[in-house]
Amino acid sequence: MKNFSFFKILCTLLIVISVSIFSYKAFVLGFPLKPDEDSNWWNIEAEIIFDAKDNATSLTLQLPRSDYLYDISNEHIVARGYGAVYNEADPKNRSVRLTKRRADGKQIIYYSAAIRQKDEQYSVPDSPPPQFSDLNFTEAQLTAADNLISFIGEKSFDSESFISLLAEEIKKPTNSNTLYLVEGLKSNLSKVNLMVKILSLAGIASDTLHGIPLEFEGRNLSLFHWVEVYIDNKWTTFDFNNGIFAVPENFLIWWRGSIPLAKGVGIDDLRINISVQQRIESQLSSSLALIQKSAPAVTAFSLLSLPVDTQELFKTILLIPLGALLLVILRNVIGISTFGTFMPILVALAFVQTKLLAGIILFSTIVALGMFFRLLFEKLHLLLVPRLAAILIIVVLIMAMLSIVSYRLGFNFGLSVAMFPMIILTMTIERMAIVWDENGATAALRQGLGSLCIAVIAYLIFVSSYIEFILFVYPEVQLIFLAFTLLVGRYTGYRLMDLYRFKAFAEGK
Amino acid sequence: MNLFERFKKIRECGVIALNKRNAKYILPLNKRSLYPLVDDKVLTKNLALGAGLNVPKLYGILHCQHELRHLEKILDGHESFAIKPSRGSGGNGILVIKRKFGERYYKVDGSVFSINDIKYHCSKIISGMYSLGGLPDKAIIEACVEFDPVFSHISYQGVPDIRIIVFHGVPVMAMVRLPTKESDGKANLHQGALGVGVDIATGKTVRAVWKNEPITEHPDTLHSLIDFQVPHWDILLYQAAQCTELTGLGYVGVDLVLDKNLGPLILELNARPGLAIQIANFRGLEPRLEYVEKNYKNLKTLEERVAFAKRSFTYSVGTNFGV
Repeated sequence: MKNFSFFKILCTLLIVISVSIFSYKAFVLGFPLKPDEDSNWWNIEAEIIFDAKDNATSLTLQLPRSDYLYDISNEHIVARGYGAVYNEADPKNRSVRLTKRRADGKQIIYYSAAIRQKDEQYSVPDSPPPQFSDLNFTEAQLTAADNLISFIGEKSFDSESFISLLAEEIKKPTNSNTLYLVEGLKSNLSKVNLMVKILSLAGIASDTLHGIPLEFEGRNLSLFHWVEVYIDNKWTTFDFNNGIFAVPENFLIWWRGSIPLAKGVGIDDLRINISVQQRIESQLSSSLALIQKSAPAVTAFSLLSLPVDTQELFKTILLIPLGALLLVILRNVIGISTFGTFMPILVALAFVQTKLLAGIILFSTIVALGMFFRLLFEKLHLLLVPRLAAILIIVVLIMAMLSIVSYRLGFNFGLSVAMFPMIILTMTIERMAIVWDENGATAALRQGLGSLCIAVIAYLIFVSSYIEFILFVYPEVQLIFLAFTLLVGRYTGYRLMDLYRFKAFAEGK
Repeated sequence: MNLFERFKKIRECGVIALNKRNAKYILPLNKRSLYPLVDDKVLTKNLALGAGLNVPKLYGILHCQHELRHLEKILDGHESFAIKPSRGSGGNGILVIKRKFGERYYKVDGSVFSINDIKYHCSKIISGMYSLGGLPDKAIIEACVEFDPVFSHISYQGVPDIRIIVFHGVPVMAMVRLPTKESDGKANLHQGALGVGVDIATGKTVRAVWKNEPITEHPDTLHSLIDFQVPHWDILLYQAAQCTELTGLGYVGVDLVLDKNLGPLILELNARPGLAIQIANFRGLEPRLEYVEKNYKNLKTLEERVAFAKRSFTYSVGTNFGV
């Protein structure tokens, strides 16, 4: 058959093209074949809790910004009822101002972001030192500060030792002048600010950096402060917390200057919890950066040239064809049918967001409750489309309810519930109810469980960082998927289930 | 027996499974544009009537919800009737009323329906609950077949029907589907009906399967299912064989019933007929289809095609196709 040979050539061609591009990239250009396990991705989250006093409330929150050190993506602020105005213009700090006309009682605001550290060293600014501004010292403080400067000055032999000793003194006061100055200063930030003022009084220009180390995971992390000092016509950095001169490494510079991380009007009892989590995610190794330089044309037209958050999106999108191929094999080679052709893939994608256990619980709860209401609707003798719409509304309500309940119970998958494909769930419930009606509860449950199992299998494939990595770096692999899908499309042999179905012939009776 | 041996055995028997049926026969031979002719029972009925074939008498069609008010008028004067979705599949959504007593309608199994219950059933049909793809549908109200009493001791309630697979106008395989208690009067194998293979040459039953297992007696009536002569066999073959010209479908399943008074009636046609017929006959379809593929171009008339089928597809051992 002419048609058939054309088909064979097409499939062979697809595979050859795919394998050639793959080999060229992997073995000639040296694209990595394995994800870099040494990940530089971190999720940061700040929980800002305060009491509002039943009037206009505003909160200014400093935000980290993308620059040569980091890429910041997936930024979310959860502040119910607050308006948010971003201030990106200030070259020094990026901030957001959250306002609400009337707020009362305990307020919680979340800020979260994904940070990718780039392979760059922190470089000190080359700008001239800032002008000394008004120090806001009272007469008594000024005297105390002067005394402190001479006290430290006597002990030090150069600017560096002066700075180290001053920081030590401010952190653990020994002198009565210092005790007077640090009185009432609780936070490290205020002590750093005091140090900058004293340095400025001593004629040393300085600035501050604040942030968190990106080295270990943790909750309730404390902030770290660095002082940039202008000595001998150049900037150097001083680690205030550890009292040493060093360069910040694996450190997220959150904001600069004397302002606090969050500052509000009309609020009380402000607390901030910062947590950091490493993202277990496959990353392109540094070798890729080299390729980017040696073969710019290849990388310029690849997915790697897209903005980071689009790249993230494509990592997910590129998994879908693999899921589709899996379904094709399950259906046409094994012979398992599911509710809705592609439902299990979409549910598996939702599982990736919710994590497996939570996902299964959510999916089962939504479908079970949905089925219950579907059976109630049956008694109302509704027409088809209104009935589907009613189930859809119920599904949305169940999702909202699950979010609230899980949030109250302290589970953190409230947001991820929204990842479930509502329409698909609705159709699943409807089809399951029809199977229930026509072929009994066992058949419906069996098919439902079957679909869930396939979703779990697809999930296990989707979460493999290795597969995600290969598909993302080598999108040409999709052509192989296409070829295999076409081949299965022309597969006229038996499905595995046929062997069971036609077992009479195999057993000869 | 390992999987590979099973695979080989089944292939040796020439069993056609879903993949091959779809890719090799249905996709090339049954044009998508012709599907509505068989998926929509109203169209099928009109086609069959046009060709002079017998179908159950039509009482009325409800096209949309507000026509439900005509239901009483349509049912007026009819003691028994069947309501079917025009675009239904797998026998779902079919309601058969056997008799009427006062304002009450009785199903075959004795359960009672009021006129409002029947209306709701029609409304469900019209809303597309039983139709392919959930599309809006029509409800057909037609005469309930008074089935030929020859089947009475080998079927349990419901209407037994005869399924004949027709390939390029040649009947290639046939079976009788007999309702059981478990199938709730329906003649669908996966719902628990019996499948009984019929020898194309003679019209005699040769083998029966129930739930995928061979069986010799009807599970409810305990009568033997083997060597039973299906009446009007030649007429059944002729009617089925005409369905290819009727629809243009190269591979079609024809469902017929035997009415006590009217003889063979065409119930519905199927563009994707099931494959369980092979189990009922204990014969694979593939050798028969290949044999027809080689010869059908020489068969000019309907008579030639039926004669060819009767000559070629005998069940007795020793022929080309006695596996």
